[in-house]
Amino acid sequence: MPRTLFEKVWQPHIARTYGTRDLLTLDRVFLHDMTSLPAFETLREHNLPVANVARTLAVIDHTVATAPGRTEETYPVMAPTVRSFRREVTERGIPLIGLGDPAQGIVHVVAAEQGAVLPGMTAVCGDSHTCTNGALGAIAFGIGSTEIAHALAYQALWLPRPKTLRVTVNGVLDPRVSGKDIALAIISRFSTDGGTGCAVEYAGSAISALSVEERMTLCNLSIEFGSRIGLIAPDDAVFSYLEGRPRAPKGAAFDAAVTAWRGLASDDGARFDKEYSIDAGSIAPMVTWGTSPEDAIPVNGAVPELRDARDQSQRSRWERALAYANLQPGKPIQGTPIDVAFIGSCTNARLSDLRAAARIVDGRKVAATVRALVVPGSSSVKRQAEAEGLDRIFRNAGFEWHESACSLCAALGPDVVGRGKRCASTSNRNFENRQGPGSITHLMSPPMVAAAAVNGAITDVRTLA
Amino acid sequence: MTEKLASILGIAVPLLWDNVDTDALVPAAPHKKINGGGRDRLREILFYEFRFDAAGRPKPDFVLNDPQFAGAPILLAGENFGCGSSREVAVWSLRDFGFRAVLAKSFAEIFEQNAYKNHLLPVTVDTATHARIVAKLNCFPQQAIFIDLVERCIAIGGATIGSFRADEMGLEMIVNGMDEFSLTARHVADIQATQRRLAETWPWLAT
Repeated sequence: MPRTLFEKVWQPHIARTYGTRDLLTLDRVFLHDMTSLPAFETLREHNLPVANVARTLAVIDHTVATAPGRTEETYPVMAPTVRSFRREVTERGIPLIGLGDPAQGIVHVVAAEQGAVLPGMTAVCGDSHTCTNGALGAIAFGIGSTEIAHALAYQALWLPRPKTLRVTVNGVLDPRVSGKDIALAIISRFSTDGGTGCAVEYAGSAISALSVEERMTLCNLSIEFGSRIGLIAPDDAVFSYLEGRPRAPKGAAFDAAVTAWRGLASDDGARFDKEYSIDAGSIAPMVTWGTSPEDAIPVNGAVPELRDARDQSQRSRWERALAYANLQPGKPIQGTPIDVAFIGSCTNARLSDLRAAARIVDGRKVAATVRALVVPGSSSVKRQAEAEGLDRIFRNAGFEWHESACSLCAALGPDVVGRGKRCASTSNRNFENRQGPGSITHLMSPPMVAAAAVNGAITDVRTLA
Repeated sequence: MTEKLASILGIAVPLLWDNVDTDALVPAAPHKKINGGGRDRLREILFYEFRFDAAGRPKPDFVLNDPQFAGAPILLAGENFGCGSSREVAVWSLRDFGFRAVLAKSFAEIFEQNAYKNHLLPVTVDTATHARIVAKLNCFPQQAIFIDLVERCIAIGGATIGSFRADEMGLEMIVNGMDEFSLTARHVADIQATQRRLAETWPWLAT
């Protein structure tokens, strides 16, 4: 019987089935400084130890400052949280990558860089963007704090078995269109709950052609499509990405793993519960206008007219979104002035993202009205970017160059956009107040943010590239 | 063990927006402010940006500030409720505010699972049932809704309005006042056996 990639990974991990739920064993539990603290309280309430610290990795990323020279104590509001988190994980012997560690960064960037997530694994973290790791052929998903406690105690979780959805993207992408644009195109076409209840496999010629880092961007946004899990069949690009990573198997063990990993791809004739498809050639650089990731339009398009809403509830949501974003229906989105340009987050702060943005910035200046900043996804990304001289390109243009963390994406540290300010952002959420109270967010790819920064307004990157 | 819950009876606050995200339920800025203040202060920040203006004064036109709905145990929501971040504080905040159930056309998955773990009942109803409830409450907003967890049905004014969908195990845990930790404790051997079997076939999984 032909099986899907999802089934090939999920089924062997089932320890028990109870009604509609499976007790799924977990290969990795990742922790970060925001959602994990209450999990330790829960462990204490149940008097339970951590089952397997070797399969656990803690990272400090959410609540810290990013300005040069920062430490875990720099942001006084959240410093007690960081301190407690550090104490809880070290007391239990859980490996920790904190500030000052050369491997520090955003957990979903660090996990892959360390080779801590491998094809065929199951991995969880108290963070909805854990689905990023699905780009390596793993089942990785976000959980709540009580689930973190359960995962730490038992290396397993009771989960409703998701349905399977395959999104096929065939055709050839315009070279100035990225993985971010594919994700926004899918979400805008099939809505933010288009993938709810499903594990989404991305397939097709345009997906195979993506770099591993762009696949991470695409899988990262699965949660904005309603799916806890996004995944892509691992191939040679993934195997060479993983070879030599600190936690990946070495030598003959690696070769044996690759042989097994090749068998993970969905079989021909495997059945999915749902199938969507989209033509890569039809995708333009995308930008969001409203307060949901599904409010995405091609950059040369217009803000929708209320009469085009599919029903009354979408119409009233659009009305609120237009009022919040201070935009007029029917008007072109291009030319909308911005105040802040942010290149960062677990969606788009890898080396290839920084390179792509730097190509646009090179030789240009950030508009005088714009505060522009680059927050690398990890310290390793930062070092590599500096070795390539990307930091000089950004600085010369007027960008700030920061230390790695979640920064303006989650606005849980000191970085916020400001009330009434408009931000061109490579992050993943344009919710009301997401980048700080009263902030207005326009999601787009790194080159698009770079273009907006230099023009001081939302710009079609194709006019600059 | 938490209390057992067989039914919920009470009025519902109508907040029929679609795609209510967990940032809307618990925004970062006030959450940072009460950090260390513990779970007992989460009711203060539920829907903070919608409940209060920039000066911290309650906004009179926001439904949660409407005195006729004070103390309501049910939140009547729209579609895709609880999307976005995995933050469980969103559920704790709703519980802390006094809600026992959220009635919606659909939920985001992480939110739904978090709700079950905290015995906040996520009640999924189809579009027709949702419309009937909204119509009934439009006529008489303070009419009590009866949610029967055992029969899985909803009634208003003694008349059944429809049934609801729920995750079997999640609902059973709420009805019996149980959590998953004690259940899983009985299956540790199964978990270990599965991990051993996996490590034999896929050795890279076991570091």
